[in-house]
Amino acid sequence: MKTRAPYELAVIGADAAGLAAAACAARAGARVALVGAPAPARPKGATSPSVPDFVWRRLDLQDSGLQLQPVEAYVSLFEDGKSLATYASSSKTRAALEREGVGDFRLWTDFQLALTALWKEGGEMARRASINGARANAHPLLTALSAPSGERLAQKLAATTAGLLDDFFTSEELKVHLANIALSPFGLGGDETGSALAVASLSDAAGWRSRARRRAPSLEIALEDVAKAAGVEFFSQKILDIRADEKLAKLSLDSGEALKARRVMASSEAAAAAAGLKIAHGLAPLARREGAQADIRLKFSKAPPPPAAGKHAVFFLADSIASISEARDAVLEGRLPERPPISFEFVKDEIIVRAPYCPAVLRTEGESREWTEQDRQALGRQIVARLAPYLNGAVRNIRRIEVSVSPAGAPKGDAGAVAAPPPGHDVVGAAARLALDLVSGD
Amino acid sequence: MATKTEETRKTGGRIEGGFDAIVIGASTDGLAAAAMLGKAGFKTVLLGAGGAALDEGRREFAPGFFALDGDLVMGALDPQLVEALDLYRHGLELASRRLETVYFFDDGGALLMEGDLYRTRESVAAMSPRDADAYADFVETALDAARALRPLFETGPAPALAEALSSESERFLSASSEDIVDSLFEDAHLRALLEAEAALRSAARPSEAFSFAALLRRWAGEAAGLQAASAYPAGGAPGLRRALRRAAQAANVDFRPSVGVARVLVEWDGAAGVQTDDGGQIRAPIVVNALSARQAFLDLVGPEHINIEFQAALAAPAPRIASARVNFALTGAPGDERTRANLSRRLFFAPSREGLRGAYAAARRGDVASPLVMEALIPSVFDPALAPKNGLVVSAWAHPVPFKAEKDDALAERIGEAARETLEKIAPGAAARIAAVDVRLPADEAAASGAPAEVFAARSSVLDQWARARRFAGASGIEGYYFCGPEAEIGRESGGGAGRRAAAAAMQHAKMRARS
Repeated sequence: MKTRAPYELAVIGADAAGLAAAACAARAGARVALVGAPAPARPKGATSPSVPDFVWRRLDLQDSGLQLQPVEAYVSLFEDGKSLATYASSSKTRAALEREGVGDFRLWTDFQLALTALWKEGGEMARRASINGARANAHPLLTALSAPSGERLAQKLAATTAGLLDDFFTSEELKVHLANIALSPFGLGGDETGSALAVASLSDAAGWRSRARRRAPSLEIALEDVAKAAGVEFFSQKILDIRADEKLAKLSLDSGEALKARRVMASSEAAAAAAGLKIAHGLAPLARREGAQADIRLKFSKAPPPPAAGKHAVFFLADSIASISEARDAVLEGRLPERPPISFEFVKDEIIVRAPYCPAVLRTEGESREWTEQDRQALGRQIVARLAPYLNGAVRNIRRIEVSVSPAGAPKGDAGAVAAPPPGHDVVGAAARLALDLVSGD
Repeated sequence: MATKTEETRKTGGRIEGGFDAIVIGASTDGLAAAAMLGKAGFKTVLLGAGGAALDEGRREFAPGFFALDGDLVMGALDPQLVEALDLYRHGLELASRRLETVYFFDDGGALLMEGDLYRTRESVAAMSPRDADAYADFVETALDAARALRPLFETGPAPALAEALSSESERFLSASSEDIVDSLFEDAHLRALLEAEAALRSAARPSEAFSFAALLRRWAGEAAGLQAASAYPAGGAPGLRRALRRAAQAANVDFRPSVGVARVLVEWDGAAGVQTDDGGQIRAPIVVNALSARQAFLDLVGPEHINIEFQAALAAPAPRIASARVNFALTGAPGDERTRANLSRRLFFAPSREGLRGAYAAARRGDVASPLVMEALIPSVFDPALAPKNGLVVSAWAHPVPFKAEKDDALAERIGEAARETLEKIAPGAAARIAAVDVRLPADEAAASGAPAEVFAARSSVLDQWARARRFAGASGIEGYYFCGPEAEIGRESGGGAGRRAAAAAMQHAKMRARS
């Protein structure tokens, strides 16, 4: 077995967040290993996470040919034929709400300010706690609670999405729309303690999804090039085992290789779950996304007609905030929700659907079981039925349905837990920040 | 039980002065506040029944079988209150100082735990040595953390928390029960036990952030001088209230159970007394309110005296989860030796994780799952007068069940059925001997006490309770007005601490006023 000198940082998960984290740490002068199979390529033209400015600058991404454009609009479609759109630009959203006659538009600016303030406080605390998860030193939550008006912060941290939205808005459509775009990346319910932070995290500019421009490289390809150029070493094998003491972690890979690293982090909770690792969280009301996400690709014989808002939007379906909570309950019970909240986008002759409320393990009659091909097909049919009313009869042109469910590995090793970025909408920025915090040594 | 000081006179439209303090509501905390104030020499009047119906003590729910309503197993009997009022001299008696607990599990397994959690190591030695050791270590860390967090749970200022706690403990405060359990143990019984103990009477699901702190809160409590012990006061919660009532009488508190309060008088941003519902006034510079926060601040004070932000804190979302109090009348003698030995213990059913998740999901959609989490005690073993000869009363909390503000007999029936099935898991064969089942839901408690049903729902997350309790305790902005209603207490039981703290704050205030 080959042994190498220890890396300063091992990043687990070769998704965009992991690539950016590894590249940032390497650019900062650290020796970095990136472990994990590359994420399956997403079809050209599909949306990806965005890249916050500080990562862009640290990695000089302008030199990589990467050109990202924020998705034009997030559009919720409702059963009665109504729709509601919000935009990356807050002022554009406000204007659109006013134009559509949504009375709540007057509070939009106040709402944005409240989100920014809450995310600054709560998000920063989550970030510090996340480093602590890896280092075990200070206590951001306790320090905050000890402060003279700690109860105000406590109340905000314990707030629910439904409660926060009720404080500002009366339009059910607007509330459902915001709850769905805020909660679905985490698979949380709208009445869950602490879920208001998911809405607050929408105030991250880089939390809005993007698309790479045509003829420009995709985000993952650009980041991979930058990471390689920065000296990140790639290991695409599976992790068999991870053992750690105070100073050093040792990862055994299924190729028989082993690598040592002073610090280990996962690029995201999902990446850690896929590798079968536990995550250390100091504080993360959004953490622990119980359940899995299903990605469904519907391939059409001819390009389906997008709803009125146009093919560049990302579309969302949810009946009500209560239905989001019900979907979460179903996931906790190990069954598929009856009317799951989903999002979808149009990419050439395909529709790509994200169903973030899927149980990782199914339970029927008191027994747990893994996903089978039948289950995946049933989910595919359910999703098609859910979309049909919005597609003007185009469902008959579907020629293939591909369903993949994010894997959850069995927990392994006795390393305790690895660090992971605090959950939020800006996944790339959070991972990059954690990597920089971990290698900066303070 | 009218006594010399417990007169039924009304003010009859008159203005009455000469009091130092008025306490509204004769709940455990109201009685505690009145007794503390009276003992300190404040001329105190206690208004309103506020649960006097519950003080009757026992309630016959089947011929010859009596139930005691309110908390039976107490783990947070405020030790400072007991000492300051000398409650043992006033009739408080602990029928059991530290109940042992027998945990029962889905797979038929059972585990006996010492009443003293510091002796956990011996209790679990019979299990896998690895998990037993890990569990004992965990319990010690958690007990230390709970003790360090006590100031927080008592809603006081909590400076220097960060120094008092290890890094492991911070996770205990913010993480979900499932996360904590997953990171610590493999043994299915220990996992189920901890998740169920943290979930009992809590609305926070075990997968939710901050849910584990509910267990720390419980373990921070003290009964009979032992941290995290479960005690059984003779006569249950009514027994505790009787002792408080006697202490208050001894301290010359003027009881006026028939006087209803229409408004709290606010003059120059300070409390000036109350207006009674017959049009009279009783004036005093200190008013302590033991009713619910909504009654205390919105109904009796009125929104015009309260700032907007504080009003927002009053608006809690409608509860969805409750716990049911279920009393069983059992006939015949218990079958085997083991069951007989268990009669004087705290019996606890801990479902599997899947079972518990399913129970919460069911309760949230208005259904009742089976089995439920159950904490049971057999009060008739300690007080044989509660059951006929050859009979037993089993009193249990069954959790989680749907919250309904209105009385709902069909729901009560379904809960009774689920509770019966759960009891069968604790004592196989018991179901066949059940002569009657009495299900008591928040709507019943509300009818008996006059408080809104919401205050009898399951408690929200500890962080949320703490935030609200802190704000209600301090920030109404009305000088001389103190709050010790149900929202002032963090955790699942009322041990009188909130009343004691409200009285202490009022005395401090009076001292400052006298000085200036």
